[in-house]
Amino acid sequence: MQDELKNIWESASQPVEISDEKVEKIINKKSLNLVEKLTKAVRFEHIFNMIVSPLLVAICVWMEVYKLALILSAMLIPILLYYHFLIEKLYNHRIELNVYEYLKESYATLKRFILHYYLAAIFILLISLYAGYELGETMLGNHVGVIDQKSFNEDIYYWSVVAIISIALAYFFIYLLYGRKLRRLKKIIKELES
Amino acid sequence: MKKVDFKTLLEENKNIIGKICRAYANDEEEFQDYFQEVSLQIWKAYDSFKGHSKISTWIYRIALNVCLSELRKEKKRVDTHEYQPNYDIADDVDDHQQERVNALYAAIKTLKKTDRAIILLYLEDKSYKEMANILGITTTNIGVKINRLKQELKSKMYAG
Repeated sequence: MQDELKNIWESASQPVEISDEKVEKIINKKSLNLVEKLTKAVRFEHIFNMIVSPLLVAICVWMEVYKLALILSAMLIPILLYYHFLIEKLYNHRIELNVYEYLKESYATLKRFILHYYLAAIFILLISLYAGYELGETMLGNHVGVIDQKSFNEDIYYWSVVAIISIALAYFFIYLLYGRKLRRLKKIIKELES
Repeated sequence: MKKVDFKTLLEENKNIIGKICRAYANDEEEFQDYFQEVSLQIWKAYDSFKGHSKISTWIYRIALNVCLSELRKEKKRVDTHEYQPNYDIADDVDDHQQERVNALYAAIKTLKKTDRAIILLYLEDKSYKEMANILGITTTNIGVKINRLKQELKSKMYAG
C-alpha cells in the first residue's frame, strides 16, 4: 500500500509555468504574510513617533504648556527604546525556521502585537485626556482665570466613561482582527506537540 | 541572488512547491496565492541560506511555513469536500491514474493541516530524520503519526 501511495503521488505533476514575467511578478509582489504586514506597521509607527513626538513637544513649549512638554519629553526615550526592542524581536521571525519553531515564533509575535496595540490604545487615550486637561486648563486659565469646579467634575466624569468605552471597543476590534488567527496558530502548535 | 538563478531554482523545485500548495489550497486562486508567496519568501530568504541543510529541505520548510500559517488575504473559501479539481498528471498516465491522483489529493485534504504536512513529506520519500528536521518534531513522534495516517488515507481513498 505504501508504495502504491507513493507511485500515485509521483505521477501527479504541476503544470506551473515559470516564465520571466512570472518571476518579475513574484519579485515585485507584496507579501501576504500577516507578520510581515505587522512588522511594516511597527516600523512605520517607529518612524512616525520619531518625527511627531519632538514636534508635539515643540508645540507644547510654543503654547507654554510646559508641564505637558516635560512629561512628553520624559516619555519619548522609553517609547523609542520600546520600539527598538520590538523591532529587534521581529528579526527572530525567519521563514526558514523549522515548522514548529516558525509557528511558535509567529504565535509569540502575534501575541506581542496584540499586547502592543492594547498598551498603545490605553497610552494614547490617557495621554490625550491628560493633554486635553492641560491645554484646557491653560487656555481657560488664560481667558477666564477661574475654572468652574462643578462643570469640570462633570466633564471628567463623562470623559472617563468615553475613555472606558473607547478602550473596550479598541480591545474588541483588536481581538476581532487577530484573535481568531491566534487561536488557529495555537491549535496547530498543539497538534504538532501532541 | 540573481533573477536568472532564482528562475532556475523555481524551475527545479516547482513540483515540490506546487504539490505542497495544492494540498493546502481550496481553489485555483488560493493555489496561486500560496505558490507566489512561497516563491517570494524563497527569493527574500535565499541570501540567508547557509547550506547547512539540503536546498530541498530548506524549500520544504518555507513552503510548509507559508501554507500552515495562512495568508492574510482571507477570501470566501470553497468547501474542500465539494471542490474536486482535476490535478494534472504526467503525460503517459491514463484516466484511471488521474482518478487515483484526485482521490489521493481529496483524501489528503480531509486530514488536519499538521497531518497533511507529515504525509506530504512521507509521500515525497523523505527519511524520518529529514522530516524531523523540517517539522521540528521527534522522529519517534513522526513514526507513530505516519502509521496512523497511512491507515487513515487508505480508508478514505477507498471508502468512496
